[in-house]
Amino acid sequence: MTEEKFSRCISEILGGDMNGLKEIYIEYGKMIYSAALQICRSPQTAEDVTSEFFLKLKKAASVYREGIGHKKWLAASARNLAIDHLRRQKHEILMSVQAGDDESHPLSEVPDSTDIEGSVTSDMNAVRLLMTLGENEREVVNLKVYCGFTFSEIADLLKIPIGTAAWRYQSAIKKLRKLYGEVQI
Amino acid sequence: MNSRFEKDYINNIEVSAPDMDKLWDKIASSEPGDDNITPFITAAEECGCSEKNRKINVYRTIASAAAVFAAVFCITSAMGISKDTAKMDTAQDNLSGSEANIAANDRYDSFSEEAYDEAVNENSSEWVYVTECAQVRSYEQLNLSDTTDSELIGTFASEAPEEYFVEENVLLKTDLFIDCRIVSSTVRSDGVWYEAEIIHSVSLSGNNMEEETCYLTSRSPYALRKGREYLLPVCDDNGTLRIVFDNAPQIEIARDRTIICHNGWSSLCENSSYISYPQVYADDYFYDRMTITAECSLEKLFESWEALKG
Repeated sequence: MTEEKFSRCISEILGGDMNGLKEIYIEYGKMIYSAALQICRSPQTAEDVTSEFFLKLKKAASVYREGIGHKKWLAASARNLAIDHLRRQKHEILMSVQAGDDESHPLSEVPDSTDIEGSVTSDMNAVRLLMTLGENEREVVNLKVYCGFTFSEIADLLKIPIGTAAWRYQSAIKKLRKLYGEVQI
Repeated sequence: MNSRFEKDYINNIEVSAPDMDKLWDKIASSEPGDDNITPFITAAEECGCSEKNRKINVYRTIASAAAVFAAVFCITSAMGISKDTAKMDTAQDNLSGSEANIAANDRYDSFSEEAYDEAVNENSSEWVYVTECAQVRSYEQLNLSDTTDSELIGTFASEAPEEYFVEENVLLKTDLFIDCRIVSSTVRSDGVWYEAEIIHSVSLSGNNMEEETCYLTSRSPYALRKGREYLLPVCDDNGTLRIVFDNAPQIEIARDRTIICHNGWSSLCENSSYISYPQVYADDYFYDRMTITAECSLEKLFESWEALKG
């Protein structure tokens, strides 16, 4: 979505027209979901965060200023919201993991650990493999591969140097490709 | 970004995402909820700051480049340089802000080595990208490793094949990149054999070299110097490692991680600046096409390589 179109959508939202919000949702809904998923590691929580995000965007539209980069702003806002949500819901998530409710939290059985070799099984898909990495590496890979941000934008979003963003991505993708090759054999 | 993992990852996200139409119906019918939009406000402030800083850097670069253009114009007008040379000068119009700084201030400045050391110590087992570049005008001013080779002497000045360097062609033939330090070289009838200490290797398959040393062969007037570090595009020629395009100076890495390369490496030249470089032999095509750039530019080279090889 171009900056001009996004600004038009924002103007529509401020004018009470939901079409603007829906256009932004269609374009970026899955990006917001994927960004939330990397933080929350729970599809249900990520879905709740996505829902909350667009509900709040109706009011937050007035905060947006042209020139700051709308896609980066959306991703940064989603990240902030997911972190806030996770902090509020932390106790509830831990209880769900302990209950071993596979249907509602299919990824909860994947430990947030860098012990990759111990976590990999043959039925893991690419998303599950990503969850075996540390949070820092996971976020960078998602922002780069799915959201399509440059290293410079990722560095701004995560408040890290460009070199660090590139290094985390390189080392994570090397691990994942190697594991993914093993899983697919 | 064409690897199998990346494609499958995107597909998995698309497939495992919730029913977006149903989710929209839920959003559209829900009450606004609480008024706390702090995450959005914080994000706007953060994005605003980074955008402002980026614009300031762009303005500085434009102003610096304009100053250099003016200086070059005055010099070429005064000297009455021929058309061909003028064309060569205009080809060097990809000047960075560092070039103007050099023109204005003729002294060698090195970026903070403390920052580099800190990064290395933090991640001592990994390859750390450095985002700053030395600010120098000549090859001799760079922070290079010591070498016992006295000069950049060509070995087979007249036997190197005539070829034009095209980055795409080189990348397509490259099986892996080896970051290595030259330990020794032996001149034989079939070329020069280099023994190299491997610092890092990068391959698209993820199968990096586990050996600590390797042997490479080359027939080129551009000799690799003992003690110096290079990033070599290499192909496996029936078990023999060969440098893919050796009729040119290879990508060299200074001690402060500044990258030195010729401007045929378009992936590396976006934020580079030109330096003077010794002429190796009479028909040396590259000595006035040498540039320096920050190590983080290598990510673009690897991305180009991945995109081509698929």
